Amino acid sequence: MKKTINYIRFFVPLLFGCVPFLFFYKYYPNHLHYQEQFQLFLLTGDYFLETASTPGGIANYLGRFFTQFFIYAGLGAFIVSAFLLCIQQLLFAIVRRLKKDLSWTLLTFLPAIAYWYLLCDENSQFGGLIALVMSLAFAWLGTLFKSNRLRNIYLLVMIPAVYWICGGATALFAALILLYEWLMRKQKRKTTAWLAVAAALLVTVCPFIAKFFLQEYPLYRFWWGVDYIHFVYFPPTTMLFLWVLILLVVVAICLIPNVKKEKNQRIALLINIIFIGLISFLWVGKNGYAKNISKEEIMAYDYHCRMKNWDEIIRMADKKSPSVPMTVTCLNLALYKTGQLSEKMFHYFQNGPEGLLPSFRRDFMIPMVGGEPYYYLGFVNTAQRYAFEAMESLPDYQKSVRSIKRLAETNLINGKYKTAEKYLHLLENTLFYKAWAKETRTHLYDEAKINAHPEWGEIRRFRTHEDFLFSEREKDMMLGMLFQQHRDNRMAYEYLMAYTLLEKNTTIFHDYFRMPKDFDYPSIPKSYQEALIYIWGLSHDNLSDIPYPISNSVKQNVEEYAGIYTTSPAPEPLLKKRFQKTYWYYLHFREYKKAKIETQYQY
Amino acid sequence: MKHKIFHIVTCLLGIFLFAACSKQDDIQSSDEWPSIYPDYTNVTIPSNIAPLNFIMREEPEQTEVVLKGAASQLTSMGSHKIQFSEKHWKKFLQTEQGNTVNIQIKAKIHGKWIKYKSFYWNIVEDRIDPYLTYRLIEPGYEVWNKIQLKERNIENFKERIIADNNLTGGTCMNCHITGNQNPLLSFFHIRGENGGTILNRNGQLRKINTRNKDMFASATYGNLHPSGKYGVFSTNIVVPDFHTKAGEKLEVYDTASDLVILDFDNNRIIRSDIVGGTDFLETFPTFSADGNSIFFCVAPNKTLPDSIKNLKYSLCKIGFDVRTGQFGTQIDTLIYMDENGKSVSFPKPSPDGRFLLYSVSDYGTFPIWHRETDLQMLNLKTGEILDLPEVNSNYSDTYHSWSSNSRWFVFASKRDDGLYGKPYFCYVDRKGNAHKPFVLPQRDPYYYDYLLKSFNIPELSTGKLPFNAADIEKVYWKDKIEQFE
Repeated sequence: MKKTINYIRFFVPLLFGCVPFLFFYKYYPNHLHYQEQFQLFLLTGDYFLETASTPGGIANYLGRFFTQFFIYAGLGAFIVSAFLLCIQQLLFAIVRRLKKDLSWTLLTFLPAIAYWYLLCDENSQFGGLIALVMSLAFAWLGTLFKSNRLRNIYLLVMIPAVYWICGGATALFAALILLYEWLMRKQKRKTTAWLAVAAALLVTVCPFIAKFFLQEYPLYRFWWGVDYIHFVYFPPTTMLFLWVLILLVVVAICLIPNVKKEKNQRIALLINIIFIGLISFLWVGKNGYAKNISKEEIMAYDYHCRMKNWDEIIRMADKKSPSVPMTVTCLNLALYKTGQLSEKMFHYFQNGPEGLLPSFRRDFMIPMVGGEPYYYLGFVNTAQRYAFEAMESLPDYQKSVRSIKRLAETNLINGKYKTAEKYLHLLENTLFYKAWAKETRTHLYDEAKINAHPEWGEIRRFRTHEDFLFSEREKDMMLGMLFQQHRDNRMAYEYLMAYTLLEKNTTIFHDYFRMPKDFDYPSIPKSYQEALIYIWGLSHDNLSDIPYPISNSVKQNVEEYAGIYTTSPAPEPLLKKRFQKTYWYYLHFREYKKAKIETQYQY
Repeated sequence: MKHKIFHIVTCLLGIFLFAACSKQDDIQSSDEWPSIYPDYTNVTIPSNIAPLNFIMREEPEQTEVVLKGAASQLTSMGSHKIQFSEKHWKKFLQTEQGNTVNIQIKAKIHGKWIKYKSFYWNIVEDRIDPYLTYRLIEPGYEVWNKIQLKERNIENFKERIIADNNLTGGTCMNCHITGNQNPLLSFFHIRGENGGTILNRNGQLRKINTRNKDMFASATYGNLHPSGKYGVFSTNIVVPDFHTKAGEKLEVYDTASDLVILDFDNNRIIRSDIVGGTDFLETFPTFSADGNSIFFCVAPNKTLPDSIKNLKYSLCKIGFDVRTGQFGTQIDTLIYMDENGKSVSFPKPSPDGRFLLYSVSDYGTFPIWHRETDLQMLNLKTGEILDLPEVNSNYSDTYHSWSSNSRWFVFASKRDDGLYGKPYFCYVDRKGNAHKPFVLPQRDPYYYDYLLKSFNIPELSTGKLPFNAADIEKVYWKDKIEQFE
């Protein structure tokens, strides 16, 4: 039986390694992709020196090093689960130095589960996990010294060193070693107390010394050192709770009496397993996952949009129609890219023009997605601006590999080869974008090759050749001007039409519809038919006289719709059931918020 | 015996390596200059500049650089990165000041040695002011991220931060401007809740609210009087817009702008109708070298942005009464620009009062985003306009400022990549001829390749500024703002 218990004790960590892996790989992969795009990890000595030259910088550097692998969800999930397991294993190793009885050691999973929960938040940065693992490792190393004197020296010497490597997590390192001293009673209480005073002083003084040498950062940032979250201006106070939890776990395991009887050991093991299972479910499942799953969905749309997985976006929307402007933007782009925008856009939820072309915001996510349709439309300068500004909005002052890639593309399309070259040079110093950058470099100064490129060539052709100033407030006019310069820019046309429909401006829609264009449709797209017959119906009694080839099904539907709309005292529920996938339903019942245009200026 | 064999093998290996490294018998001569970055070929440099380290873009395995002067020689070896010893460099420049130095580069590329066409450096005795301040900022549109004002000692590679928006709650921070290259007289604006115009006068820092109830905006572009008592500023309502055509990026223009004088002794703002009102847009004021007049740019107000391409600023001058702090009563037009002409920005008189350096662009008032922007120089004695072809590039060249001896000026140029501005130094000889400029040298010559920031408004100064980032942090958060009336 004892063997079985040991097997279980061996099996549980293994299982624990697998569960977060499956969690991040199967259910949370886009949180990993999301993190990866908001950094530019360069394999250069300068990047290392720049990152590692601040307290906690080495943990940040390693965190960013590992984050670059998150581009592949499997690899990212493996790394995350391995480091979560490291937390447990290191804590277990520390506890083992204090107590031989293993009955309650499964409690060492609690901090790892807590960090797993923290990683469900998209603002978490991986450097924080690295800092925690390293501070635990240094603490464990400290417990290996048999000589009291050596251990004391190690503690005092390592506090500044760990501070430099892991930032404020040096407090945890010091606290763990002091706790070890206190619980092991290897030295006199008085000596331990003096040691604690000296350690506390050192931990406190480190940030002040760092501030003295590195004036450009405010003092509060030196207390934490590591960028635990993207918003570096906000103190990551949750980490304090985690550190306290770690100390409590150590104390609790040490203070709980040994379990000697085999039966009791079995009971203890069962309680342990149930407890960590329950905690995992409550923290990670109920709080971490369930609360953030909507963000995972947004990230999934964003990821597929970035990777041009248009069919995947539509597949997701077919399962559940997107409702956030960002996701609707991705869907509308995917619909256009698969030739379905004009036909099927009202089959899905639409939240006004902002879901087609989101307005600029000082944010690192919205402009990143918002720039995508502009890029394909031929508004290369606007796409470039969105990519640049998204990168500049990153709250942790990092650069974004996704933005840099887009900037390289837009400059290449615009013939700004020197600028494109600068960005490509940066990407050539990354692990996963190097090949792309090298291939793209072959296009520099080669007009024919760019023009022949299936994507860049088309976008280049659709750019405006007459200059005008871009207005966020008059996007329909912008689209109109773009289309007027290129009558074969089908995307500009469809977006223009979609924009007017979404704005519920049927008069303008009708005007634009009659504009000449250099392409044809086999039949008028469904949403246009619905709008045209509606416009006709406003001023004519007989729908059959409409001068456009409208399908019989649309004619029948509009009559049925009009019947319910005009006769029913509360038509909305009835119409929703039958006609929510029509333009008419959108026109009459869908409300949308007008965009607030932000302007800030730096000059 | 074992030891003997070891020694023989080591010696043979050493000889072999030496031969491999230094054999230059079958050297090929090239009639081209080497592809070095930064482009330091045939430039004029001051005798007090930091080492002009550079990269060989061909990435050779080995490079030998020989600087041969009239009295001495300096050799530097490397692979593709050439970094001179600061000590040897300083000694060499001191020995060779006033001479022309020949630079001979030999490089081993794919196992073959190439001897490139040599180039020269003119090392002039006229020294350049040793300190340079600039704002480091990403050349973005509306969003700013990390903004730092820095001071660099250009005689070596020491750089320090004089202000950082990390310490001021992430607010926007404008460029640092020195008055007459004097480190004890300078200013810059910090925006945001606790912001204001930070004035450094004799090392004392003041935080000033430069906007009173009658003004539509606070002080924007400006300059300080040589006495330190006054500042002349434009107050501008600045609007950014975005071009859609490739090659054009950002258009920044003013929908209103006037000139004002700030009296720092009496905390007052002095205005005049002659440089105010809505009919004309006045901007970029600067005191003349003697402090008795003010140069500025002016354009008739237009419907903007529709008529932006017809917005052309002329260069004007108005008197200034040092005793009363009042504007003069008559405006003289020095360079008139009609709708077919170009647009003048950033007039900067040389400290000896001989020249006026300014930017010209096709239209508008924000030359840094106009690719066609060039520098021009007006001879204030003769009225002659110099086009400075040796200085200008295909990209924006602007944001200029003089060295205190009027022999050097620095400016920001986007010539390298079209987007990221870098400080270039240009020598103006006694005859008024401008020489080919060179970029601010860096310890690591790859620095600019990885830098994603622009150097805005590089300004020279004769000494080190008497404050640092921590002082500015304190002023921002703790000092009370002085309201000027």
